[in-house]
Amino acid sequence: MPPLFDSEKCIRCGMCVRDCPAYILDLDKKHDKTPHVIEEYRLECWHCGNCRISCPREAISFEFPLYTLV
Amino acid sequence: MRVTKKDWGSLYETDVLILGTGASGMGAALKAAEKHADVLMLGKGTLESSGSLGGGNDHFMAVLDTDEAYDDLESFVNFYMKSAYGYKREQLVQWHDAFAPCLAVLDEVGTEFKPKDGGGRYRSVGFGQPGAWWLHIVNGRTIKRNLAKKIRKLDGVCVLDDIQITRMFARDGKVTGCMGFHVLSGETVAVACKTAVNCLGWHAQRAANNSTNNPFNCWFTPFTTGSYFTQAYQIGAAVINADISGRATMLPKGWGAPGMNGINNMGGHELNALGERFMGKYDPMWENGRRRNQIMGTEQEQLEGSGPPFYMDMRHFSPEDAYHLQYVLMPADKETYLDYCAARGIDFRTTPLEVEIGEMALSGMLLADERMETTVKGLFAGCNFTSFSGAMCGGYVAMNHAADDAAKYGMPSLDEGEIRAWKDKDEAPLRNNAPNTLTYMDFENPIRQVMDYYAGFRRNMPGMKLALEKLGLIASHKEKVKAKNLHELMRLHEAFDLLELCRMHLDACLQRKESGRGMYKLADYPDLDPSLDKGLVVRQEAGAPVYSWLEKQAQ
Repeated sequence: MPPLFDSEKCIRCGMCVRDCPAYILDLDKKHDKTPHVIEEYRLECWHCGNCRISCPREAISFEFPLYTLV
Repeated sequence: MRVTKKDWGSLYETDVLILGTGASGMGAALKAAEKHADVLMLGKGTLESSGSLGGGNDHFMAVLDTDEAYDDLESFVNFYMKSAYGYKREQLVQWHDAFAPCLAVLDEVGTEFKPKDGGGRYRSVGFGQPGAWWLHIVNGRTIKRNLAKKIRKLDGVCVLDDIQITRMFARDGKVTGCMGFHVLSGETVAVACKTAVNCLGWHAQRAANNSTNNPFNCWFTPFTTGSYFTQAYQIGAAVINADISGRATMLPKGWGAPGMNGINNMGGHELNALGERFMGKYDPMWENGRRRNQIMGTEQEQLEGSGPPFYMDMRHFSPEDAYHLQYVLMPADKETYLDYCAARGIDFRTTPLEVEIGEMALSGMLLADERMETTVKGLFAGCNFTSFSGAMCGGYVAMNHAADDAAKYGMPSLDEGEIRAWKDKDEAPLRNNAPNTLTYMDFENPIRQVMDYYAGFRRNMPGMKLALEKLGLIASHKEKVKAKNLHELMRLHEAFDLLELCRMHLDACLQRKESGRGMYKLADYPDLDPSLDKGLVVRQEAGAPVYSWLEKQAQ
């Protein structure tokens, strides 16, 4: 359920991180600042899609997890 | 607004404080600008995405005073005076009067409403109401950020994002401010105010689980856990309907998404596993009646074994209506709706949508007078009205009076010794290095474990008493919690609010010895008691709840 990031489209602007109301996204500060879901808190995603709405480059997609499909 | 750096953090002073930045807070901010008030609004998340509206919305309820049936003030007032306790006619008149200015702002920021053939806005009937009051929003997923663009430019309105509010302050029965912490920097923030509008959210989640057992996979925003009630209650505000305002809806199977209003009011048929359309047994308006009846009716079918599965069937819709529902309304309510549909192969035109009974959310109202002032002087109730319309208009109405009353008071001084002491207590989980500590979920999960087991849609008095004891046991473990970082500290404070709200709900339920008004049925009091056609009020005195009953106001 948490978002997936296309690192080729992403411009590392951080808007997805800024607008996530769950505070579960972060930028990879050690490497190339690609956004990622903080693994420990991934289940706190509300699937509101604010990260995707904020993304200026359509770099974000969603893959619904198995437990939502059964 | 003035800010002063202190050794413990930052002290803000503002004429009017808006607690919360969701739809209600935005309505309050809009009115504040009209009145040229000095306002600070603060809350969790960013203004662009916070609150339930941050997830989108597909309807705005409004009586437009046209020649259409029941499209008038009296029909609106009559409906709400009959369907809820605690409303006053004057409050509902103000909600009604706020429809036009709030709609004007929504138009101004680019909200698109479904047009009606022949002109005007298309509307439909919902929730057992007599008139077609629900406007359909086409681009609901961006309402919040479109409004945010306007609000960030308003003169006199300052926005402080990313603040977890931990408590309000009052002195001598009057609100004086609040405090909390910045969830990214950790800085302590305290605000002194002359008056305040409480916009912390009407709908508290995470009290119960749906079938997925993920409390964040829920209908309304999972980051609102009851502070609207609990923090106001702590400073003396009376709460009404904590017993009977539990809410639930049907969810798409496995996914906490809203949208059932659109499905029901456009004519969706609920089917049980046997393919029977059964809601006529439980509500004369079938699926489009009271939501309580849909939940309790589905629950009854489930108990009898006629489901699961349950379905909402839209195959009889015209292709245009089915398209509008699936591809316009639903994604307006939640941005990722079509991703869910794609993953499950859902097409409303050809296949019934599997649904489930969702988790119960807790709610209520703050007891308020004709001017939306609570029993705490200077504290106004911004989230007493339902739905997106009620939130936005409710904040707008409450601010009208809060801004006026700010002129009556001087700026209070907050007790910095008290702030330091609370800061120390609030941050204690960050310093807890004792063995056998509890993580935030170690602490929060047992709350739902108790609520799901003893306080579901079917329950009884002994079970609720036992549940209260067990919630008390959880409360006794507060000192054992540990937070590794500010994220976990934020979640812990959300859990503290949730725990107190669950206790308030259960204790209130023990006072109401009947079934039929709340979102549950009692085995030991299975029938409606006509003498209890009144609202239950609770307020805190000397640390203990004191109950009274409020008769319905004559219209």
